[in-house]
Amino acid sequence: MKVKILLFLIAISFFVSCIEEFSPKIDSYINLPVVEGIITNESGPYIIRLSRSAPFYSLDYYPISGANIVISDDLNNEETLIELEPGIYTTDSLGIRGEVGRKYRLTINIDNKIYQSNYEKLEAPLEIDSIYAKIEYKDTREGNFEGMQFYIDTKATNTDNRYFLWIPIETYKYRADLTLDHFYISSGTRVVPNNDTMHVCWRTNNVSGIFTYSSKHLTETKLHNFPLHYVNTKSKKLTERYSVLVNQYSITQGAFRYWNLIKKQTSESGSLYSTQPFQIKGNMVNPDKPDDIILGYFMAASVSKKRFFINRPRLNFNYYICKANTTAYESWLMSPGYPAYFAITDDGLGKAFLGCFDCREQGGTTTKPDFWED
Amino acid sequence: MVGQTKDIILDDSYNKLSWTDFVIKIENKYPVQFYFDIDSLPNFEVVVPENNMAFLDKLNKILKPYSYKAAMDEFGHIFITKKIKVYTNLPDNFYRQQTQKEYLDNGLKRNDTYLKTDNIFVTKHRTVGKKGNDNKTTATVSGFVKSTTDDLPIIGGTLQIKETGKVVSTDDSGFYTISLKKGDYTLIINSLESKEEKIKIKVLSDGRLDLILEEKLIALEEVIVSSERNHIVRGTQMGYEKLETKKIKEIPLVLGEPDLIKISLLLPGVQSIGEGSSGFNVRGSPTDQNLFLINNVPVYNSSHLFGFFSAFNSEAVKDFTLYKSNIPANYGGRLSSIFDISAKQGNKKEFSVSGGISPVTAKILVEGPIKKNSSSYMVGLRSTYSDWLLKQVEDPAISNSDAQFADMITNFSFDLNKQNQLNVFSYHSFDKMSLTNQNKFSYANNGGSLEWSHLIKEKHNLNVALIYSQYNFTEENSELAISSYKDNFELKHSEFKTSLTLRPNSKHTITTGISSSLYLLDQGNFLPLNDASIIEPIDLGQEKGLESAIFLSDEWTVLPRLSIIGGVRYNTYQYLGPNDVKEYDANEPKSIENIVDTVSYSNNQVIESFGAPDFRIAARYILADNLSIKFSFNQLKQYLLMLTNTIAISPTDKWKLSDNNIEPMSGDQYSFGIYSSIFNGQYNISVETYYKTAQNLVEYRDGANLVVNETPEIDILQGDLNTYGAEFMIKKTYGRLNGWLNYTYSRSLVTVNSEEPEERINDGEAYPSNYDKPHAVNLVANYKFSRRFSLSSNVVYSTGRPITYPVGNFFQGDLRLPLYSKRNEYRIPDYFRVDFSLKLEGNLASKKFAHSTWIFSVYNLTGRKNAYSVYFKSEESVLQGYKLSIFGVPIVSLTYSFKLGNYAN
Repeated sequence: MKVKILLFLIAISFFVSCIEEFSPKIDSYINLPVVEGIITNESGPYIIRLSRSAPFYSLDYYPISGANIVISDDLNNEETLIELEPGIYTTDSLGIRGEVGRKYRLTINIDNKIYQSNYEKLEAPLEIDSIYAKIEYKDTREGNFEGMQFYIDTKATNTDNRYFLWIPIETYKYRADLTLDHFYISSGTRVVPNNDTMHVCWRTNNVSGIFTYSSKHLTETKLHNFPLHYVNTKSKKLTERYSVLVNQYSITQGAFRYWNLIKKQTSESGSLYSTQPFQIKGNMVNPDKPDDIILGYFMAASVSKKRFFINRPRLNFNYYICKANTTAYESWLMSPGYPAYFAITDDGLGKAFLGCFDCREQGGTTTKPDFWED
Repeated sequence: MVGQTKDIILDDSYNKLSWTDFVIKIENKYPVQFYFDIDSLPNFEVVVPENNMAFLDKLNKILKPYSYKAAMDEFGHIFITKKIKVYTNLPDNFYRQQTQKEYLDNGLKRNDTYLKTDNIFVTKHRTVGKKGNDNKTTATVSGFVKSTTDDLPIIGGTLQIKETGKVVSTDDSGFYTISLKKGDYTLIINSLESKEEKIKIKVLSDGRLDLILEEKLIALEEVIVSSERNHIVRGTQMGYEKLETKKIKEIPLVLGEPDLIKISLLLPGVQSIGEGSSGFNVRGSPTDQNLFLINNVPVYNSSHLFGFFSAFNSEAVKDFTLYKSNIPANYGGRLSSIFDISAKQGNKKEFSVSGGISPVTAKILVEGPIKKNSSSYMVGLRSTYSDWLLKQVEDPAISNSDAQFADMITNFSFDLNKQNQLNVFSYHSFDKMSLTNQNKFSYANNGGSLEWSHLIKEKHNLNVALIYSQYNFTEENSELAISSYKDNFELKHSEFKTSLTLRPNSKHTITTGISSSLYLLDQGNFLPLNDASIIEPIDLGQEKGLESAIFLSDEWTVLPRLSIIGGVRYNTYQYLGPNDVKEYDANEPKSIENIVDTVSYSNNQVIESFGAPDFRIAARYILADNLSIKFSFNQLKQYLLMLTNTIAISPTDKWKLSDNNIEPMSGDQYSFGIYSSIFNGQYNISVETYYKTAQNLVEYRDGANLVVNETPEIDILQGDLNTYGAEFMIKKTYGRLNGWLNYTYSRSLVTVNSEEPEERINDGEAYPSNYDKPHAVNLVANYKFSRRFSLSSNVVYSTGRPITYPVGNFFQGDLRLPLYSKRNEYRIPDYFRVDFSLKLEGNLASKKFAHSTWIFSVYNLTGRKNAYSVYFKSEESVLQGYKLSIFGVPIVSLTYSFKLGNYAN
């Protein structure tokens, strides 16, 4: 039998999943106290911050003043903290000091309600062996980027503790895009500036993201190639010289669980196989009334630090660069406004914004940090 | 009045048409219907006589050279038969016993309608038995009910004696038996597959009455779907839905892929978490409480491609039955529902090929006789080329991924003789996916069954089945080089099942049997993927369990109006060695610290044992000819659970047996319903309510990690599930416009409470389950313009699923974090979707080589961006909410399918 079958397929098909910003109506609000704080093996003073949760769409911060806060250890040494600013409480620089192997707890009295943490053991530190960066490409919803991925290696540990939290703090040097020729503060007040006071800046930020890891299921006690943050070429961060100070905290299992869950909840939501979010419990309770919730985690952790520098890598940068605009200058001549800033371009005088000339406008300072090595 | 033959004018425009075109042209123009044997009548060229004869005379003249004759009755039925000699030559198997033969002869002029047999038409007056045969006043009439088109048994058809209201139904082989006082009756025959038939019978003595019914498909009155085992009013079953593949093809579906199982989402009481997620939530229950059976083979992962499609090739599936209320006693093992899928049986008469192509898959089905009229084979294959689709997605997480899947169904059936039938079936499905090249999954289902069915004394039935099913997956994760790993899982299910159906008299149908399933589970090894990985290998161990059951049920017609199905199923379960099991301090919450002992058990040593009876009862009472009420109570046990705490089940979720630390789940359900069928069965209306509880439901502690978990019992918290609801359904079963509309109100609430505060979820208060959707409306409408052209539409609405929203924010360091509400306190936006499709059939010529069909469909016509999930991200010190939609635009697709033979084949 001669089978002659013609198959046709015309498919005009779209297969699109889409994500858009969405702000559902949320009318309830739970007002709970929140604690933040850590005792380390470094010398004090140690800071404890106390605040209240805000309504979901609120951008405010509500500090709690007038609380009584005590840090105590398992040998019954204790110190009552002093309120430095509203909601910010501190130990004395000569007071209690974290020691490896000791256990610490925090007791808070807010309006005669007592909250107490578990005893948190201060684990031994693990030394950072090296920090390094590799050129990597990342595909994101916003597009493809080149950039540097930072990694950390640690030395082998001889303690049992296998839980880590990293807080990297970045500092980078950058330049203003344009050199200021002159500017007018007001009509007729022409100023010729000293560009040296605003051309080169350093800026320091906490790196966003939560970096935690447990080496519990590893055969070796040292970490190798553990990825920290990624810096892409959409910003000026890598254009001159970039530095990162990595604070590596050896933390308890409880603290690891707390931060790891926060990491999961803030990064993995919304995918097909995510779990329903839930309120992550900290380590503080009201022993008289267990239903009385306080948020946050009081940590005891040892810290090891290391700084790393990197010069401008050979990458294609695609951050926004200011251009002085001659047309803008001409229209300014027609209807002048003040202050106004001008640079000399190939086509004559051009006008631009202050941020193009003064690097401080982008959040940095012109003071070179003490640790900076060029 | 039709049949005024002078009304039909055969003018020149009918000349030189092929016979089939000629028939279609007349049928389209006049209210007449032709009946003829397409196999023996050649598709000749029609030559219309030029003289002024009447229609019927002209027709007879046209047919004369081919030795055929035409006759027509007052209802416009035109019968084309081969001379008078053929009428008298009934097939041998038509009347097997003493049934008195009644021939067609000149009965064509009578006022009756006719019953179609293989190639002749007989009047619907039938006499059973012989006069004066015995002295009894009662007689037993029995026989088979079969379909004209494929000669397959009509299962679950009902036969009602109009005069007494007595109802019997046909069994799995299409067999029925009914006891009557001798006399004259009207028999009303109903089934899913065929038109309602009325036959006058004269019962003289015991006798055989075989019925061959015409399929509804041939008459215009197509039913897309039917939800009655028997008749909606007269059947005893409730909470029962049956869908047939060939009747759902118009229903628009995403990417034009016909998917019988996904259609169940349009039925009342069946929900899913979201579009493209695998699994079904039947009457507010979790997805692992459904048992998927294909020809008795349990399928442990019933989806392809992340859940966008079901793992069953609709082409190779004949129909499927969903039991969600009273589950027959021969089923067990899951609390919520049984999806019982029947594979197509190969055509025993002739070779046939069909196939199709949609934007995602290509498939082909080959079937034919091994030995004509006694044995057949069927092989259905499906494979995807979906990779290109994934590349279209903007999200690099998906466009850098790839996915493949394939499945194969084979079915061989042998009629050894009239009493014995053998069936050999196999099922394979395979999926391979890679996500952003960092996450690779592959999984496969492999299974087979060997079934022997034996007919005893033409009324009792014995079924013996050997069943094997295997499911496995492997996962490779290389997100982080130092801890890149691979993980695997395997489940092996071996089962022996036998059931005996006895029909001692027409009032009782007794089913009894035993079944025994051995489960072997390998929870897998967590291994380093490559040299760069320094993770420690972990062996998650093996599990063995044996689940057995003995069951007995009786379908008892107590009174003509009252019938009862009473059943009991006794379940036993043993968790067996070899295994090393942990024992926990009974007074403390389970934790690593509270492990008091690890006990080793040797091979087949019983570690834990459970046994409990299930009582199942269903009753139907007919209030009036077309109105009945039904009640059922149902108990079930479940010894197998799926470890999953994600919103939608993922391809790496493992199954786990109940053990010494995890109690088996048990469930009770009460249902009550009112059923009506009006306008000659054209409209079926039903209201069904239920209340269901499940004990030892498995929930998980917040933040549980189930991927590599040596002690899942620590993360499991067992609680109670309470669900209740009311399902309203109105269905138009035939006519140019057919389809259904349903509304369901339902709730599904979970409570996990304990003396220990850390063993509570939501502080021990009840919370809505992830799939609690109180209001759901589904409209499925199909309008046929002609036999070749039809238009369909779905309208779907449901309340958004529950979600946990933030009700505040707070800082930890520089990070602003959401403060979450109690579990599932909020809901995502409501879901609404409209789909639309057009179906165009190839020409209706009865003699042609192949028939093709085009379906053009638009899924989500309005392009509404339905929320799949809503989530919140901390961006610097600001929190932003996002909404994820899976199909945020209309999805347009075109599907082509073909089969050898004509439209009706």
